[in-house]
Amino acid sequence: MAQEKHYEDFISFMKNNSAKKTLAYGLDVEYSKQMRKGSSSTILRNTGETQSVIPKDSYSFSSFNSTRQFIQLEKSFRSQIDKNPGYFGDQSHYILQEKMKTSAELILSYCPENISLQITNEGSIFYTFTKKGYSIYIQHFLIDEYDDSDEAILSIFRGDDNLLNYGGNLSSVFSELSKFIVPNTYTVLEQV
Amino acid sequence: MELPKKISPDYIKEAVIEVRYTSQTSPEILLGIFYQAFDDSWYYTNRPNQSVTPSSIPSFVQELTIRVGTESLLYNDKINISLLQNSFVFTCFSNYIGWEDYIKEIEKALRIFESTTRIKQWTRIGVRYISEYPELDLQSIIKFNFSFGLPEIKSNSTSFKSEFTYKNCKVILNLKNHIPILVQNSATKNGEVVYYSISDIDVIADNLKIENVDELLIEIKECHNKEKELFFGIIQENFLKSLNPQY
Amino acid sequence: MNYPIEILPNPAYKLIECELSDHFLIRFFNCNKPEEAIDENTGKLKIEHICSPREQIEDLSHSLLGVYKPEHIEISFTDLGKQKFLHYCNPNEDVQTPIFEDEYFFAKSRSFWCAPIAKLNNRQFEYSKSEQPMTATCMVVHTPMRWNYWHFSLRWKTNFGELSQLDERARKNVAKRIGQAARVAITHFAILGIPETPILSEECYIDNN
Repeated sequence: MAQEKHYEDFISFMKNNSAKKTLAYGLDVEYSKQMRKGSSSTILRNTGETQSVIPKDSYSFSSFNSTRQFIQLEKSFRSQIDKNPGYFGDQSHYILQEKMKTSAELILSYCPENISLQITNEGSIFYTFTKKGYSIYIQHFLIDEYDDSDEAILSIFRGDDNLLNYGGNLSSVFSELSKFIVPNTYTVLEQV
Repeated sequence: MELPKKISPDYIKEAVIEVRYTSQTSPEILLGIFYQAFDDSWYYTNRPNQSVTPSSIPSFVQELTIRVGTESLLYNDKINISLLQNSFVFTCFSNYIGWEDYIKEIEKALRIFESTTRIKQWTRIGVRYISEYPELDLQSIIKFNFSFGLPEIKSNSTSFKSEFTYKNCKVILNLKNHIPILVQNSATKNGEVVYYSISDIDVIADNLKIENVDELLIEIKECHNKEKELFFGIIQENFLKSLNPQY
Repeated sequence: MNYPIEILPNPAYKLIECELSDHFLIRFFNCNKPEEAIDENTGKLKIEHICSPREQIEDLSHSLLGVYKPEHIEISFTDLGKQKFLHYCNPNEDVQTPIFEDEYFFAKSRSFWCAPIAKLNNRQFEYSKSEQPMTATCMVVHTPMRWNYWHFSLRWKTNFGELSQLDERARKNVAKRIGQAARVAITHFAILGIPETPILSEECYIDNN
């Protein structure tokens, strides 16, 4: 993707200019802000900052909606575990819940438009969410650790086109996802 | 002006009630006390305390890692409560449940908080309603006209913000008209642009010194009333009729 | 109550190997209210209605919508009926008609979903960037059964060939990816309701030799 190539060029330039790391921080934040806004042109735009189309998350009072989505996911997870206690062997509910919260929170950092969570008889959670025309499916395995970290599999569709399938640990899966959509990772808890 | 009790459709996207308080107990201990006070009809959870390193940022730039505080939450099947430091933020669990049911649930929760005897004073109330109107022009909804020095120019989209005082309350009014939003079309599964208009009215009563929940509830209802006065005061008559108001 | 004999194998029938890209597969699930099968947030079919825990998602049973109609999803078999009829067979097998109540009955609390064959058949899921690269390909295969000539299977093949040759960990990984690909494919493309489907030409299933 053009955005990713441009970003890679920029980072490569900055890596080779270590004295400019402080500048890189500022520029990189700005770049990420632009990417979050859905800007498709170069970094450090000084004009035309109001993009033509706003992704839904940037206006939809995302912190309230994010909390609501988190609670609904947790409630759904609890209720499905209660109906299907055998799906996760004898793994403690507390640990399952904490693992679920980890992947749920990672997904919510992308401010999905819609999201659902379903458990499977393979001891995994199957998330479905939509964002900016993408349909994204992430299966997070809560049992059967993979090299000491949870395994996950990702599939991304746009319309009928399957753009990516990837299996690895949870962290690498979200790295791949970030090449398509950028997380709103600077959302800070709104304090009094 | 007579204010409707209910409108349908209400277009309400968020109905947020925030109450702030003071306490002589430190926040981390308060959390445990509040948790114990709520019965099994409520669930407690917290959002993970994650150090968020954006995956698009290379690891050598470590200073970009931002630690986000844990968010503690209580919820039942009707409302959610965020337990912030010196503040409770109430929102609906799913869609807006109507004021009568909403304030009933909030009252139940506030009385539980009060029963812990750890709340010294209630100091501030915020009532914020955000309404979302897909594919509607704000000028057909609200008595609002925006123009500037070049009257021949018609804006494609508009954002307007005003802060003012209304009956001793601070009000923050946000209006957005014809904002293009990218959403997914469930039939084609592709992205499509939908135009939204938004009204966001935030009524804040500050510098309070309330010591009991009965008085607090009176103030919350007063703020809600002012919210309604403002909303129904700026809404177009024809649009109000289309909302099937019940008095 | 008469068994719909038009769905039974027939001595005049052959294996269907013609182009089916305009056609749909149909599969039932146990649910009284079809609307509850759709997730209210995403509008997609819930995965619990794709396949039950007892079944293997990597070899999922369907029927070809057409001669097999939505009302046929109610057919369910007794233990005796299962022993006699729930087996693969040749398309031209001469099969006795199942006996109502002794061998089959109608299960009422069933709904169904359909999926377009064009979107599933030969669809590849490439995990090329994964730590263990592989390609899983979905295949829609005609697998007649004694109770239903129009029975099709959704199967998967991978670039690994015989899975029994792999070590246990690799086999598990392949199975996980196939399971995920199957769920994703169906969740993404399944529809509730009866799609318009063309009448299958007799040349496709009648053996003129």
